[in-house]
Amino acid sequence: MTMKPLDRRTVLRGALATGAAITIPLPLLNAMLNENGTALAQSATALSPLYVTWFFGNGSLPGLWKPAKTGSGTAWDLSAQLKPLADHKSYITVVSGLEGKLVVGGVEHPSGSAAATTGAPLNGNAVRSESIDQTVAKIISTGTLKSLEVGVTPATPNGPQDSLATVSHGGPNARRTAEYDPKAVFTRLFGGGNTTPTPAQPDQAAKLAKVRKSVLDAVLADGARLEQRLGAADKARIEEHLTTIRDLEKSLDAGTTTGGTPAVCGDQTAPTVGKDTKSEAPPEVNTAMSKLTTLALACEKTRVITNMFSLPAAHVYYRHLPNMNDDFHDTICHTDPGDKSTQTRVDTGVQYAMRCLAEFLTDMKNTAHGAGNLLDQTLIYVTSDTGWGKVHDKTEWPVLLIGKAGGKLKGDEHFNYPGENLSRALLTVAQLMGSTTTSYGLDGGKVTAALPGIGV
Amino acid sequence: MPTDTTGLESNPPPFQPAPGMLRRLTRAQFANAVKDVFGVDVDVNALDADIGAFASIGAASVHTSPRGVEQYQTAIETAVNAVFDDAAKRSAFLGCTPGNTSPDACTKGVIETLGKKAWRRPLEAAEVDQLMTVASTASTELGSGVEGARWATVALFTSPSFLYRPELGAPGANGALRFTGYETAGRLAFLIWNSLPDKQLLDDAASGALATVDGIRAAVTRMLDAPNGAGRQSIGEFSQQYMELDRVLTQPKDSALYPAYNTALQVGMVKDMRATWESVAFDEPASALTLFSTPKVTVNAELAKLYGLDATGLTSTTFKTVTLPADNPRMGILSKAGFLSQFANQKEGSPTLRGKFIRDTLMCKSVPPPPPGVNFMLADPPADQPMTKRQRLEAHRVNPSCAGCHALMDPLGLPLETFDAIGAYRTMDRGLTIDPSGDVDGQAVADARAMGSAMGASAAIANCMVRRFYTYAVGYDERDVDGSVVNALAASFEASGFKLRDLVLATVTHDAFSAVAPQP
Repeated sequence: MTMKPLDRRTVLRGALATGAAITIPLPLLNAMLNENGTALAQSATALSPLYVTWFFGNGSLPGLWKPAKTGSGTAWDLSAQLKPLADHKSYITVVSGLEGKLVVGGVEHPSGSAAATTGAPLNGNAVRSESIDQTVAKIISTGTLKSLEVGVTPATPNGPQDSLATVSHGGPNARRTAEYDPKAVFTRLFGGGNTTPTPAQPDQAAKLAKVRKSVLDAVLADGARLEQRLGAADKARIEEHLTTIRDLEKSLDAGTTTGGTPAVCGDQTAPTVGKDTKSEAPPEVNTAMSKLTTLALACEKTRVITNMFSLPAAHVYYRHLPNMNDDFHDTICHTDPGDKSTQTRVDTGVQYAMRCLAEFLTDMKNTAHGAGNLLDQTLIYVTSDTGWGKVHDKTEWPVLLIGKAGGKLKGDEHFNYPGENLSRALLTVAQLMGSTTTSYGLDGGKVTAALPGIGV
Repeated sequence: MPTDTTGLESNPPPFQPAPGMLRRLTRAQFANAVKDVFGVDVDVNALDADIGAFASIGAASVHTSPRGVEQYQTAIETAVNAVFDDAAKRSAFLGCTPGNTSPDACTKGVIETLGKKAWRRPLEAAEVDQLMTVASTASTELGSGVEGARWATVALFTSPSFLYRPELGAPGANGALRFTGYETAGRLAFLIWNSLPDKQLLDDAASGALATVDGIRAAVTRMLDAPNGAGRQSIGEFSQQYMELDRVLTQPKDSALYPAYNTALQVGMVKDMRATWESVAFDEPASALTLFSTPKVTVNAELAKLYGLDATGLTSTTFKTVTLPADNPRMGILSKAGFLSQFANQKEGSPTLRGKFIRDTLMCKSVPPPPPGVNFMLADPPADQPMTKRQRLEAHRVNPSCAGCHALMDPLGLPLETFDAIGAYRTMDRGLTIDPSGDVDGQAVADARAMGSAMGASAAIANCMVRRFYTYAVGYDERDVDGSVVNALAASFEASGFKLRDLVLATVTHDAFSAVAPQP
C-alpha cells in the first residue's frame, strides 16, 4: 500500500448516535509525529495539554462509591458505583476521603459547589474566586475559545447563587454558564460565531476580515475611553470584555472569520438532538455532548471544557429509567429511605451518571491523538456538590482524576486521604496542568500542599 | 435591618448617595432596544444571563462572559443585516443614501443621530471619527457606501457604550455630585420604558430640563402616558422581576400528570401576571393592594382552560381580560398560575416554597436557612394510608428544629394547596379532601380567597412593595441610609391610596434618585 502524505485536514466520516452524519476529524496520526511520538512532525510542537471538568450534581452514596482497597493496578478494584467505568480502569485515579470544609449549613449545595470548583467560600450569592477550569485555562489555553462550557440537563432549583447556576466561574459574578443545546454547541464550534456568511472568494474573506478588524478597533477604543472614567471594579469588568474582543481580533489576524482555530476538522453536520426541556438528562443529549466535546478537543477548538452533566442540587427526573420518575434532589436523595449504602434509587441515578461519563471516556479513548489517544493527553476532574446528598454529608467527597494528563498521571490507582481538605484536589489538578502555584483556595478552603503521591 | 411592625425602619440614619454604577443592559433591555431601533426580535435566551434577584441590580456587578460577547455580536449583526439586506428597510432606516466616497455626509449624519440614541448622549468628535474610519474601511474594502454605514452601525451597537450604562455623575450647581442630564435620560428611559430614550428625552437632557425635579416630573409623566403604552413597562418589568416570572418559562412539568402544560400556557401565565400589575397601575388605576384580591385574569386559550373559563374565540396568542365569578376559588396574584407553577416541582406544589416567597419577597420578612445536617425526610405514608401534603408537612411542626422556621412559611403556603403544580384548582390531594386553612401574620385564614383578602389589607405589604420598587429603580440593594427615602416614599404611596403610578413618579422625583457618590 502506498502511503500518501497526510495533513490535518484529512477527515473521516462518522455518525453521531443521534443519527446525524458528522465528520470526525482524523486524529493526530503517527505520520504527523516525530520519532518520539510527542510532537507534530510538521510543526515540531509538543502536544497541547487538555483539560475537562465533568460535574454531576447531588453527590454519591459513599458506601457504594468508595473502593474497598487502595493501591495501584490489581491491588484495588472498582466500587459498585464506579463499575460503569470498568472499561477505563487503567485511566482512573480515585481520590477518596476528601472533606468539603467550606460547606455551610442551609446553603450546602451552593457552598459545596463552590468548594469543589473554586476552593473558596461564597460571598453572599457570588463565588469569590475563579473555578479550577478557568485556572487551568489561564495556563494552557491559547486560541480564541479559552474554554467551553456545556451541560446535559439544565435541571436546577433556580437558586440565586452563582454556584448553583454553573460550576465554571471567571471570578465573582462572572458565570460561565453552560450551553445545553447540542445544536448550539455545534454552531459555536463549527458554524462560526458570525452571522454574515464568509464569502467564497478568499480575497473577499480577507477584505471582510479587515472590516471586522476596524469594527473591533472601534469597540476597543470606546472601551478604553470608558475605562478611564471608572473605578477599579468596573474598569476590570470592561477590561474583561475587551480581552474577549482582543481574542476575536487575534483570530482575524490568524486569517479566520469564525472566531475559532483554523478549520482542521473539515465539514461537519450538526447533531439533531436538542436541549433537554424536561429536566431528565436524556441519554441522547449526553451522547451528543460527549461527541461534541471530544470533537472540540480533537480539533483543537479549545483545550479546556466543563461538562455539567447535571448542576448542583439538580432537580432532575430520570424518568427514562425504571422507577425513577421523581425529583432526584428533593424526593430521591432527600426523602428515600435508606443509608449511605442502601438508598437504591440514589444508586441508580449515580450509576446512570457514571454510564454517561463512561460514554464520554470511550469517545475520548477511541480518538487517536499523538502516539496514543485523547484520554492519554487529557486530565478529567470529576466531582460533585456534596458527599452524600441525603444529609449533605461533607465527608467522602466524590473526586476522580481520569486520563493520563500527557503522562503526568499513572492511572489505575486509588488514594485515600481521610479528612483532607477538598481544595488539595484542586491544587493537585492545577499543578498537574503545569501551574507553579503552591496554594489554592481562600479561608477555610486555602491549602498549601498538593495531595501526596498523585502524579508521576 | 431593624424594622417596626409596619415593615419600615423607625429611626433611619440620614440618606447618603450611593456610588456611581456601570450597569449592563438586562436581557430585556437589550432586546427592547434592538426592537426599537431595528424592528427585530432578539431571543433573550441567546444572550448572556442576568444575575441577581432583581436583574436591574445584578446588572451593576455582572461580568460579561466570552460567550456573551459573541452572543451580543451575533444578535447585533443579525439585526443590522435584517435592515441592511432589505433595500426598503435600509432606506427608511438611514433616511439618506450613503455615497461611495468617504467621508460622506449621509453616513456621518447616521452615525451622529443613531449614535446619540444608542449611547444615550452625543458622540464626541473623536468617537465620530473612529466610527467614520470603520465606515471608510468598509466602503473601500467592500466597494459600497452602504457597507460603510452597515459596519459603522455594527460598531455602534457592539461598543461598550451601548451595552453598559456608565452613570457616574458630575458636580451640580451646589457642588454635590448628581447624575448628568444624559445619565438621567438613560436612567429614566430604562426604568420607565425598559429601553432607549427617544429624541424628546435626549432633548430634555440637552436643554437642562432634567436637572430639576419639575423637569423630571414632566418628562416622566409624558413617558408614563406614551401613546404606544411603553410606560406600562415601568410596572410591567418590575412585576416581571419581582414576581420572578422568567422562572415560569423554564419550569418543566410531568407531562403524564399535566398534559395541558406547554409553552403557550407558560407564556399565558406570564402575560396574566404582568397584565394584572399593569392594569392595576394604569387601567383602573387602583390600590396596589388590590393585586391580592383582584378577580381579574388575562387569559389566552390555554390559560382560560386551566382557569375553567370559556375559551371560545381565544387562541394561544389572543388574550382577553375576564372578571372571575364571585364563587370561584381564585383571587388575586397569589392564586394565579404564574405564581403557583413556579413554586412547585414537576409533580406537586410546594407550600413551603410558596410560603417562603410570600414571606421573604412580598412581606420583606426573612426566613432563616435550614439548620445544618438536617434530615429532610418526611415520613412517606404506607400506600394503604395516604396522607395529604399538609399532613406530611406536620412533621415540620412536630420536630422542634424544623418548627421555628417552617411556622413562618408553611401556614402562608397551605391555603394555596387547592392549586396543583401548574396552578389548576383541585379539592383533593391523594384522594383526601384538602384543608386549605392557614395563617397570615397571626390572622387565621380559611382558604386562598381569605388569604388574598388578608394580604390586601396589610400596610406592611404595601411598605414592602415600596422597598422593593425603590431598590429595583435605583439599582442597588437597600442600605440603612436609604431608610429615610423609603419611609418618605411609603408615606406618599399611602397618601396616594397605594397607586403604583404615583410610586413611580414619587421615586424618580425624590432627590435621592438624582444624587450619586464617587466610585471607589
